[in-house]
Amino acid sequence: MSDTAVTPVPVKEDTTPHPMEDWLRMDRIPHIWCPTCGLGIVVTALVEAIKKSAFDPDLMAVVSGIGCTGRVAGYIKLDSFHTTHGRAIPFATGLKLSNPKLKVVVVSGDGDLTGIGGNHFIHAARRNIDLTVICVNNFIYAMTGGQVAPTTPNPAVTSTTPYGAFEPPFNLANLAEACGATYVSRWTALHVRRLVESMTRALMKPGFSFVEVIAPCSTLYARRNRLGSGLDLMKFYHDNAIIKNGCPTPEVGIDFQKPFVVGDFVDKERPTWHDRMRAQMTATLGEKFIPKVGPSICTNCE
Amino acid sequence: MSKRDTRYVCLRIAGEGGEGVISAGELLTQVAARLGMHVATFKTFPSEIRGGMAVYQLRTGPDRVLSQGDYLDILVAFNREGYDRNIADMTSEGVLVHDFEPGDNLPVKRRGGVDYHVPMGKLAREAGSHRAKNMVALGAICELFGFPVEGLTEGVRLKFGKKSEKVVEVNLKAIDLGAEYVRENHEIRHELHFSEGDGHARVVLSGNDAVAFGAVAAGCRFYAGYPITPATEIMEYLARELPRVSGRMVQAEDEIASIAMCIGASFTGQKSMTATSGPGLALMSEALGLASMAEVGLVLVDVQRAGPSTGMPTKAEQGDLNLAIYGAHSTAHRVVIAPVDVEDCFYQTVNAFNIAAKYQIPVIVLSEQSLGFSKASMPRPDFENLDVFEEQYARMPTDGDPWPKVDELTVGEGYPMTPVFPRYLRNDTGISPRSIPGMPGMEFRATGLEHDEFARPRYDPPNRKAMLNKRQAKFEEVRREYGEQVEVIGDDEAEVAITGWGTTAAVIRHAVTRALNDGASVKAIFPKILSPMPDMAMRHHLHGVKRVICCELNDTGQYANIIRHRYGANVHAVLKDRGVPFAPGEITPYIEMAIKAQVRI
Ligand SMILES: Cc1ncc(C[n+]2csc(CCOP(=O)(O)OP(=O)(O)O)c2C)c(N)n1
Ligand code: SF4
Ligand SMILES: [Mg+2]
Repeated sequence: MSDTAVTPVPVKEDTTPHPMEDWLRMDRIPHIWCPTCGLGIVVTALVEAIKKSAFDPDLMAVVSGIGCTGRVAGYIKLDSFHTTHGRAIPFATGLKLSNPKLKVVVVSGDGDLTGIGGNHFIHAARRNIDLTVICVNNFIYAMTGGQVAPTTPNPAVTSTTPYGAFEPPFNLANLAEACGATYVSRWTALHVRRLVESMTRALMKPGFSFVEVIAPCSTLYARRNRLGSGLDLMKFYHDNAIIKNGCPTPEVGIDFQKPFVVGDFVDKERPTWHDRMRAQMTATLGEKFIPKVGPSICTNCE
Repeated sequence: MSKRDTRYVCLRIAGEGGEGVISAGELLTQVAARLGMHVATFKTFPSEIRGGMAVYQLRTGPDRVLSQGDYLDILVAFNREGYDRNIADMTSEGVLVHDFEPGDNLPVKRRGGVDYHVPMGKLAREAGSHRAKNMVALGAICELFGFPVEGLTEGVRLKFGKKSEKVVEVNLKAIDLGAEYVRENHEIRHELHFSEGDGHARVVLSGNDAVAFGAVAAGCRFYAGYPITPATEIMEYLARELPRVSGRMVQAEDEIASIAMCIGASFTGQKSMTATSGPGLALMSEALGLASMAEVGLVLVDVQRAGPSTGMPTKAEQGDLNLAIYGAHSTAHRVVIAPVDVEDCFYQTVNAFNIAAKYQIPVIVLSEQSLGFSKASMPRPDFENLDVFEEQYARMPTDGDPWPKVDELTVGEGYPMTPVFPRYLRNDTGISPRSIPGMPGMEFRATGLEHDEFARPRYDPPNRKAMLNKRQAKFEEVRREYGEQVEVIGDDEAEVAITGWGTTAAVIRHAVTRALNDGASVKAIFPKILSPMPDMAMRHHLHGVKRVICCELNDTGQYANIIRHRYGANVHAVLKDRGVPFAPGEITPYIEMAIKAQVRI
């Protein structure tokens, strides 16, 4: 078989500028996501939140793992690192500890963050590393073709649970809170305005902040469970998401196609890794403790 | 250059996603196999963008299809894009069947060949549904290339009969219209013709299906894995099948947990397997060391993909050979085998389970993306006569002396001889008696610590040496058992040899068979097992060979280096690492050059 380059198919000229041109890597558009996938909305919401948060975009970095969601880092025009599957948080931790001036945002999938990456997730929250973690929960391992995830409600059908999922799923909000996150919220791809506000709060919050975004995977989760298109799932969110800010996280578990709770659940103060490290080092080393100086273009902030 | 073997036909269907390209291709493949033709398919992903182009390729012939050949013979293009993107792969005398206006100004001009226009979309609507475009195409294919239309209509009934009579009707009508259109509007101007089947129905499986099927046949009743392209289908197959044979399937939280679960299952005597791709194999490396040390057998399938890291997950590469053979901390024995085609996937998996059970050792099966994903026909396996090894566990001795005498060495200072089960008893073969949990009096503690024959942790140099030797002895037993399993085809006296492994071995076979037909003096050498290498046989067959060609799909010549270093052979490595398999025509020139002593060594 020859693998010579194929003749490119001529594309119709469209000269209307994209409304988010300044924030997206336009050379990577069209993106790879399916029609009516929720991920595009998440990108838009995140960009809006970054704008609102007034962080200097030059001092922000987006880190993601592998998956459909993992591709988010590739489309936002910020310094970004598309890492390995499950390890976005430890890579991000490395970034943050070596250059504390950076605002580091992790965007990844439910499987990536809480399946293979579950261990890192709980430890970063325990340490209270100053990271904002955005988890797009589509209840499935989408990129690999729709396998069961640690978030799959019972008894949803996936390619590896052909007879229906039966393992109890994680309640991610509760997990994050239990492990020490300072900010925890959950919204859906439908609640764009509230999602943007919540993401903004998460970005501004010191410590480990966590935003779960329920989003439709139209091609795999919806199709295999005969739930219609992504649009049908959005309608489902509209009819079934119950907004309850401050709801205790043990009460926000998600059942298959049942009403579920969204809202800002946790917002609390807790010393970050940097706070505690500085305090401890200063107490024991005194003057001998040398704070970290980032690369010369960034001034030290530790 | 040899004349093309016209009994083999390579056909590609290309169209828009959703036009039924894949289902038409699969139907054709199924029917061909049922009629007893040999058929192999090739799945390619033109880009990441979903929807996009869909392409299905198959090659059939009167005997086992070894590769996809060098060129496309027939291109069935559902639209212009299908033509534009695929025409470059066709021979100049190839046949094009298309559904776009012939007058179109084609950007890629053809040098020759025959074109047939069939208004597939229009005829489909006439048949009753625009979605039957693919069936019109199949009807035309039957008429043009002598594919048995009765087989196809039966296939349609089998496939859609359960859906509704109406769907069957529309599809059959579409097939008729396609065939009729060709009869009435075209004179046949080509010579290509499908060869007849031999009437022995064959099954169609992908390499991944065949691995999973082989595992069940070999007695695998435990699977733990983590999704990763291109290995996931193995898990998906077992998720469906294992519950029906009282087996268990767990999708673990990652690859480390997957292999750990398998080791746990194997410890209880269950035949267990996990499957992954390169990044997953890397994660499993630590636990593989435990399996070697504690002498727990299991099967690990690596469906390789182009790496490193996320690399090109849907593209082919044979880049994990070094990781499979050498990816260990310290000396951690593992057996490595590599199936060459779909049928071999089935039998090598059975073989892998046999080796794992008999030698209490991890066995890595190296498959690869193009093999895992592509489907091919194979004879239905003969389960009655399948060679499946059943392990005999240790038995409690009945007479006075509780356990077989252990070596003086083992009963070292500070280690009083107690009547405990000598789980790691040293003997000629290195294969010790094994017990599983629940056997009274034969408890032992498996451990990753260095241990003595009684599985007791122990660090003294003589014991270390003895136990290393024991595990090595076992490995040498594998080499002895499989040592002669080197297949040689061609001229035994040839000065030029060619070798390769996995899927590339099948392509080499294709190229060498052609060269031999042309009277070339060459031999092909294929070891059945890649670690432990069958050294005696390899040395024997390489004796007197002046130049060795090694072909493989990676950029550093991992296998070539083994051949060079182990046998001191003069190797010319032919390497390809662009995500696609070799075509036989890419290998042929190197055989010719080697014969003329024109390759650089
Ligand atoms: C070590 C390793 N194992 C497995 C994979 C395959 N893999 C890629 S993405 C993915 C799952 C992604 O699921 P999720 O994080 O939920 O993201 P989604 O695609 O649903 O957005 C897996 C299993 C990999 N890339 N690396
Ligand atoms: S597979 Fe699902 S998550 Fe991935 S792009 Fe498509 S709809 Fe979105
Ligand atoms: Mg997901």
